[in-house]
Amino acid sequence: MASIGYGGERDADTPRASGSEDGPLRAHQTEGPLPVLHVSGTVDLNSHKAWGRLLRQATVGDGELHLDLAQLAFIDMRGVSILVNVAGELPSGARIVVHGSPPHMRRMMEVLWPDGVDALTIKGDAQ
Amino acid sequence: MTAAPVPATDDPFYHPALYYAGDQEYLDGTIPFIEEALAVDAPVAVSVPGPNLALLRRALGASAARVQMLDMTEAGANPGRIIPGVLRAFADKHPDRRVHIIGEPIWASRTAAEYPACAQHEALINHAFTGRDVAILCPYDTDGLDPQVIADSLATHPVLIDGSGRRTSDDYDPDRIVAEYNRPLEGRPPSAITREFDRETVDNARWFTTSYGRGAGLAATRLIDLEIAVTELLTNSVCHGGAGGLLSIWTEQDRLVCEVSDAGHITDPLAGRRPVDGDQPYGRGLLLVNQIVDLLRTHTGPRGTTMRFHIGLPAAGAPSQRR
Repeated sequence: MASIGYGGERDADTPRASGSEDGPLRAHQTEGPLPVLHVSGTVDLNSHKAWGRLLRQATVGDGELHLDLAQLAFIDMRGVSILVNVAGELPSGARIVVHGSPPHMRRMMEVLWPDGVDALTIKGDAQ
Repeated sequence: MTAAPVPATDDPFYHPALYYAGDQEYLDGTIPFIEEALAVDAPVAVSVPGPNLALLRRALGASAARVQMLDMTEAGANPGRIIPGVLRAFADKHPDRRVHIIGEPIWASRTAAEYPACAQHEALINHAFTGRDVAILCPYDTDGLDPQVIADSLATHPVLIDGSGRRTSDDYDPDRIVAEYNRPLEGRPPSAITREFDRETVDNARWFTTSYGRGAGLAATRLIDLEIAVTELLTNSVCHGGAGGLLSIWTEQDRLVCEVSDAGHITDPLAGRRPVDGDQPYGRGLLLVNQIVDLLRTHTGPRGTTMRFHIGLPAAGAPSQRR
């Protein structure tokens, strides 16, 4: 998998395409001054557990988690809910910053969380 | 069902129907309701069809600035959106005050496809607001509406108001209306494309649906709504409706129609019509669908559930297929 970020790529401990519960969700992390977790594939009923696990592993500590979702093909409502819930469980001062959020994710946020979510910053798509 | 109706005398929730014919009766019935609230600085919202909104705006003059005004034909085009997206959205912003709302969800040009969800909406308001310190006045146009609509309103409103005064409805029975309008949907047209789906093919079904929508000429923002809506219905079917079902899609008149049917039974008539906090099955997915489609129709029972939604196509001139 190509590194998109700041070098020092390593594979995150995340599931592979399997057609089973874990589904086609992939992630890798780029290290550097601003570590970024890049997620691609699909977050749906076949990958909710993997998505939740990925986010909880990545948000250990009280810093910022930068998520790049520009290559995410689709995320469903429960996938967005999981992200919102993980952000809600963060210790004070920690936050999740989403880069390259897909348009359908922003649409769901606008409808279901119109006042935004503390500890979660959603930035527009990179394209 | 969240709760049985409680005796009106103990319940601060007030839900009268107002029968009017013509502008003067409309104003006579609505303006005092608004002014009474404004006099004690209570929050007031008006969500009615555009012409009546304009009528109220003119009559209220400067006071209109103190009233939240929405065109119900836009905010409430899909009846399933009105409770969460209009009524609760306003009432929940003022948890410590008595809230006054004028909501007119049924107008003369409501279609036969829309009406069952409208009647159920009026019935379900009673359950959605039981015990709440809220007053919702629902105007009914006796000149323009079908007699059956007026008859149904007697069952969905505990209190009735007309030129002769106010009385308790002897026919009040909202659950009867919820059940009566839970009707099988008319058959799919021959042009409909139907396919099976299950957990393994949800991704493919979503891709197929958006491809069809793109081919039918949906605008980019509506394609996103289509993709979200179909995914939530497919997901509900896999998770709660017997592991899969049938997906159908077609275009008719000025809209794309998408239908998902499965073997599940939705026993909570307020599913998708009330804001949710927890993880109720169906709840938040249907809530989302209700807010982004132009109409969501439902038929549900022990033998299965069919949900059908409409998304408007661009006006003539845009590319289309299978019309």
